[in-house]
Amino acid sequence: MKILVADDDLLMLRTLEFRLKKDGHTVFTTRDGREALSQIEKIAPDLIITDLMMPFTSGMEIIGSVRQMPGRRIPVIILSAMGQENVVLEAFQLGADDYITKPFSPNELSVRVRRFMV
Amino acid sequence: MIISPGNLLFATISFSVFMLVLLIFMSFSLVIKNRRDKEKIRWLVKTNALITRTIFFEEEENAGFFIPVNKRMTGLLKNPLFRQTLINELVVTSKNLAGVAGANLAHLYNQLGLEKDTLKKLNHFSWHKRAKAIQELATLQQLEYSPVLYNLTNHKNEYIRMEAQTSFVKFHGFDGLSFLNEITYPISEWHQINLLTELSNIPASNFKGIENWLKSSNDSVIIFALKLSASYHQFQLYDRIVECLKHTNPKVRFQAIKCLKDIYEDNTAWHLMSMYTSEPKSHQLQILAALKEIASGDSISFLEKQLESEDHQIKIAAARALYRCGDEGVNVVEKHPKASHYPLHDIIQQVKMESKK
Repeated sequence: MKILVADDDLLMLRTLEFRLKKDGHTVFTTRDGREALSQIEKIAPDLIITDLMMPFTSGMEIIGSVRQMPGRRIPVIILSAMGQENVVLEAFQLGADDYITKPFSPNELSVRVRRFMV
Repeated sequence: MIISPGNLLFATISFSVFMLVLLIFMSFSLVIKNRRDKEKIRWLVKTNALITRTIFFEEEENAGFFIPVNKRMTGLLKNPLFRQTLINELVVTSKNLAGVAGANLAHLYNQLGLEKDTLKKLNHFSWHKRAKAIQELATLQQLEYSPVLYNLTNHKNEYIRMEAQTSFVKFHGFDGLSFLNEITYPISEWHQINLLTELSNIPASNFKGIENWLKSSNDSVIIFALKLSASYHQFQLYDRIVECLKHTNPKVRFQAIKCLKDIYEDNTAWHLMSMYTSEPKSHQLQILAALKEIASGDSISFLEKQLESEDHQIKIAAARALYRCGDEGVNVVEKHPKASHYPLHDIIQQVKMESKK
């Protein structure tokens, strides 16, 4: 599965990349939201994992843009330290498919990603 | 005054020498800073690689946790600045990771003896280093140092005790609030929010102690206990909360009124209406806000009187409460003799609009 991971924390990005590659996925990474959007158009990922707070374009804006794109529906997992009910609800209303709150377990993420494998 | 050519020459040479020394000093500082920055980047590459390896370390059966460290890393670990860089990265990463990955990071911290560096900082004379040390111990799950942190929960420095209190709650959840039995310093509004946020990440259980905190000699502890009672719907504490309405500190009374908006019984409105006239305006507005949620037919005549107030804020708060008292309350406002005059007319329009939302 082609997965795009967007997070401004480099170490977190490397951790996710390492785990997902270990699970056999092809992983693309980016540290800002604007670049994430251009990557989505270029690589057409099967899944997007994104943080909420990122430079230039936030995770919420990424979900909004992805949901407006024509063609197949790309699942989006939000990975964020913001666990407040209203933020989670807003993400789901915008079209997020899953929401993982930091601190999280990489093993749990791995299981949640597997749910999107068809 | 005329300056002699000799003096002018001397001044020029002195100034040039001074500028030259300054330039050399600045260049030297810049070179050192650049070297340090480059070194820090190299260090970060190494710490990140080590941390990534640690996160995904899988213990072999009966082998225990041990991350092999190469000679180069062992050498670097002798440098206190590198050790601190590694601690910083471990703290940042631990905040994002839970489960086995988080536990592995804590194991690495212990394996490399980094807790000794943290403990040294804990005895440092500057408060910010001590506060940082407390945060490191808590984030890296060093539970064995929790008694040390407990002793700091009533420290004279606000930042040290704030970090210690938050860490103690991180370690022990609701049981960690036991420091409230002993603290003599006030808990700031900001820190109360921090503690409530920390608690919101923990499954709600074991509310022992709130009853005693509602009787504390530290007023900020009473206020925090009232917030806890409201957040966790501690209805069994109703009588104690009502007692707080008679407290001498107006801030405690204010919080008690707010709390009764969430925890109320049949006679709550009566208690609030009884104290109304002797309270300052901020409290009166809070009482009317509470009555908006809990008032019934018995409160209508009281609320009607408040419509006569000279203060527009009181009038509008009373009208809002009356609109929540059913048809009878609505009639009292809309059939008021001054209902078609300013300001009541505008207030009615405003409240009607709000009730439609």
